[in-house]
Amino acid sequence: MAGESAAHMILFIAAILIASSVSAVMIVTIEKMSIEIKNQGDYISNVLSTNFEIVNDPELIPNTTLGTSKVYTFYIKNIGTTSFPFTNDSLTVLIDGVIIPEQNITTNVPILNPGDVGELNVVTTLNPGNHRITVILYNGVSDTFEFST
Amino acid sequence: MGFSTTAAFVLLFITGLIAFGVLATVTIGELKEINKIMKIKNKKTIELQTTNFEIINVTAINVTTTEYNLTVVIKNTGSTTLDCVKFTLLVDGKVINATSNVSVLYPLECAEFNASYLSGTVGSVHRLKVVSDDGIGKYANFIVR
Repeated sequence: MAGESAAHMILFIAAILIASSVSAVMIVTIEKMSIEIKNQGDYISNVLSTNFEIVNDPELIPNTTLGTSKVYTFYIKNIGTTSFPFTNDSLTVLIDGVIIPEQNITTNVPILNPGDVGELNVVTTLNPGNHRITVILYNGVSDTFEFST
Repeated sequence: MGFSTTAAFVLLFITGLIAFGVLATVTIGELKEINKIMKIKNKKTIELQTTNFEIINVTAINVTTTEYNLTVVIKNTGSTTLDCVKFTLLVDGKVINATSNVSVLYPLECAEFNASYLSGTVGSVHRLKVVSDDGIGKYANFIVR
């Protein structure tokens, strides 16, 4: 009788231990899933609320000479509902499909708030004619603008 | 054996319920947030479709031999109220500082934007671009008088 009770006790403890282990694994997995869902949701919300436009006059891009290159100024207007970082390391700029190095880009403000216009200065050499600039933000939202020099 | 199995299942069931609760709370919270932003985005899209304005008049009067004062009159021809503070004016491709006589521009109303001491001599031709708060741009040429 005592032996049977001990066997039941051992089985009970074993069952509880296995169930607890499975529960612990489940809770850890669910926690990771929750964090990932939250991150993805925040990312989607951020992308949906971010929008901007290059508002330059396509025929008159302000520029100044810097050595053999020129500094072209592009005006970026935040037409979204959220602020976004506006620094050379948070932006990707392509002119005619070629990436402009980070050190050749400067901005006048670190953060662009909704409704504000920021200056994006790009040091490059462009031949006279039609060109295309694409600006990509840190979250992948982009705008393309065609202009002539 | 019977009690052990029941106890284990009860434990797993409770854990499952807690896990489902946590997942459901997070997912519903995020979906609500996305839904809220989608509503704002849809509202902005509708606003964009109903936004329109016209440059009614541009006056450039010289104040010194090389400078002039600019007055731009804009009429809201759409059905959305526009925020004048968020308008952007570009003259010859460069953003200028301009002040408006009203902060909001209601449909069919006019707003006057003024900018002082811009570079240009009498008779010089300049190009103006006006950009609204949602990115709509309108162009006009003017001569300094």
